[in-house]
Amino acid sequence: MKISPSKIIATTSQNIDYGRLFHDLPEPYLLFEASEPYRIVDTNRAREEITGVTKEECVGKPLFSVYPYTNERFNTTVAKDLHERLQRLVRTGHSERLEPIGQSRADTRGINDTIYLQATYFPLHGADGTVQYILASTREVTDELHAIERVAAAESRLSVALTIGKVGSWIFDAASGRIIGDENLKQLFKMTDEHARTYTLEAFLNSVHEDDRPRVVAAVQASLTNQVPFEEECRITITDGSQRWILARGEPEEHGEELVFSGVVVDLTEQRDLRAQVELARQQDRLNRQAARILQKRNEELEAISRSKDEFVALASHQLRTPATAVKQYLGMVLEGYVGDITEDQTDVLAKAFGSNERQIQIINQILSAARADTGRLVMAPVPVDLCSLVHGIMADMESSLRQHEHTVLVQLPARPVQISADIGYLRMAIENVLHNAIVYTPKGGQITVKLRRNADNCLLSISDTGVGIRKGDIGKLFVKFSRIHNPLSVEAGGSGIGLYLTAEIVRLHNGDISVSSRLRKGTTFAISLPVMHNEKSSISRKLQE
Amino acid sequence: MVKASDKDLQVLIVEDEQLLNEAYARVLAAANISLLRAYNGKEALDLVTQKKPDIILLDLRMPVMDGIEFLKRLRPKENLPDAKIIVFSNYDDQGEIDEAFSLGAMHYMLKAWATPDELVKLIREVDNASQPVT
Repeated sequence: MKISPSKIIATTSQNIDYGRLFHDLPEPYLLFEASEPYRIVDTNRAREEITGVTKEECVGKPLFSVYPYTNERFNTTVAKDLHERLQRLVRTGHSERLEPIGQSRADTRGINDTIYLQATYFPLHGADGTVQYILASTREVTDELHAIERVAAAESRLSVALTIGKVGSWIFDAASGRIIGDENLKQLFKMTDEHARTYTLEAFLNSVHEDDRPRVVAAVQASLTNQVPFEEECRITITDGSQRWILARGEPEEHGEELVFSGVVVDLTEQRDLRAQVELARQQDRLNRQAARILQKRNEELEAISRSKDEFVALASHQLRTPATAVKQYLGMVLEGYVGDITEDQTDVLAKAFGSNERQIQIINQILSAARADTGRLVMAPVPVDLCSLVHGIMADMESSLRQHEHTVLVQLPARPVQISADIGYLRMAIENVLHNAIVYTPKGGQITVKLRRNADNCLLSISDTGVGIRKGDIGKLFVKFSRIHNPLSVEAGGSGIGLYLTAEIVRLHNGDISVSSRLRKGTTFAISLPVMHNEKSSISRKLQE
Repeated sequence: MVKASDKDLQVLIVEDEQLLNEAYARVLAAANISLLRAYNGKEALDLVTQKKPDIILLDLRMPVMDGIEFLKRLRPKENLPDAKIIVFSNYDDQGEIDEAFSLGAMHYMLKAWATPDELVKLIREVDNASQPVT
């Protein structure tokens, strides 16, 4: 049923061209039938402009076939229940208002912008009181929405700021140059009331840190000139002389003729401090890791040098053995009669040379063992040994040295064997070192006493001399590698300074103990205790692996 | 000096150090032990193809061919199933020693240990023994 709108309107009023009015109204309108398919009856110029759809293009067509009722976004958001609402409108005779919808639109300047439109549907009743037509009116609500948003944002900022309590709000009057702050601002800037009453923009700018000032001044000027919002972070010095980081924000407000700005100031000092601290911590961490890497590298270098030293020592020592072996063989040949008989005097002389060479070999052995002990590579090969016969053997070997020094010897050993688990070679070395010291640190014609006693679990080997003795304070240095203790016989004693160090290590590796007691000029006693073997074959294998 | 004569005992000395090689030779000769001399593993291998020594005094570290290499090449040839080998060295390298034993050496001696008499004594002990001498 197609009735021209002009006619409808004409029936209620006389001589007023409502059609023309409708057409010229500034708001967009669309008129359509109140029953399916909601055929469009009329539309006005404002609507043509805003939708880009002309009257000719839409009149006579069903509502849902023309823009924006064809738009998917429109239909799935604000107009998703439009059908039901139109039916309700017809039923109840009450208008229906949709939610605003955003639409980007190029304005007259060609600048793309988002505008918000809100549609309202009004019923038009016929003479019979039923809804015959529906008028769709669209309003632009952009400014309203923005305003609401601004208020909401401001309110939220305000509430956050209020929670923190470090936000001050202010108003700036451009004409007088005065800044009027609230209580929070006064507290933030530590201003007295008097001070606050006369606070000016100039005063504020003067309090800004000189590095930040040019930037802030420029921003303020731009803001004042162009009447645009202002936002800057900067450092200021407040009345107590301390420095704070602040964020200042302001917006122009129109108050009649006067230019007024209002805004907030937020104290960011703690935040920035925190950031600075985090950065510092990160830097520290970087430095620490760098230092750790350098240390590790140094350690590796040191280890390499140490290994290098060990290798050198081992190589040199091994190589020294070769000529020493040759001397041993050749002197040995003479002494043992392989190249004819020799006189007693010759024997005596050669024996001394032989003995010295033996000492050399012994020292080389000790150096090598000490190097191994250092790196934990002293490998023990323990076997059951009768300590009595071992000591006997050692004493026999020491005979010539003892004679040389003209010492008397007293040896007390138990009648029955004393079974221990020991590495013969190394234990020999350990005991010989002690004996050697006893002999050389005792002036000629002294007395050396060797006693071996046992109980159920342990045996005790003591070697005493009547020698120069050791000062109490030097006893601690005795078993330390390379330490030499100054005493009258030190020069004569000769040695590598590692003998007792090795002895202590070897005794330790045999699960034993070594102790010293001494009196200056009276003599020294070394006591070595070792566990004895019970009848079962227990081997003490404390191999320190490489 | 050891006086017993062992003309039927033949010892091969394998030692690269001139001075030591000569010293051992003198000692063994004076003890009436017949001997062969080589200065490295290769010379020793050549010798054992012609002669059959009863005991080999084998230095471990030598140029051209060392003691270990000699041992590796000796057994497969089965030249001397009965020869007893004394390896000696001035390097107490446990790894080397273990390997020598695993390749059939009977005894290990540190060169700087033995006087001439002790060397001869050792040789005789090894000759009489059927197992490794400690």
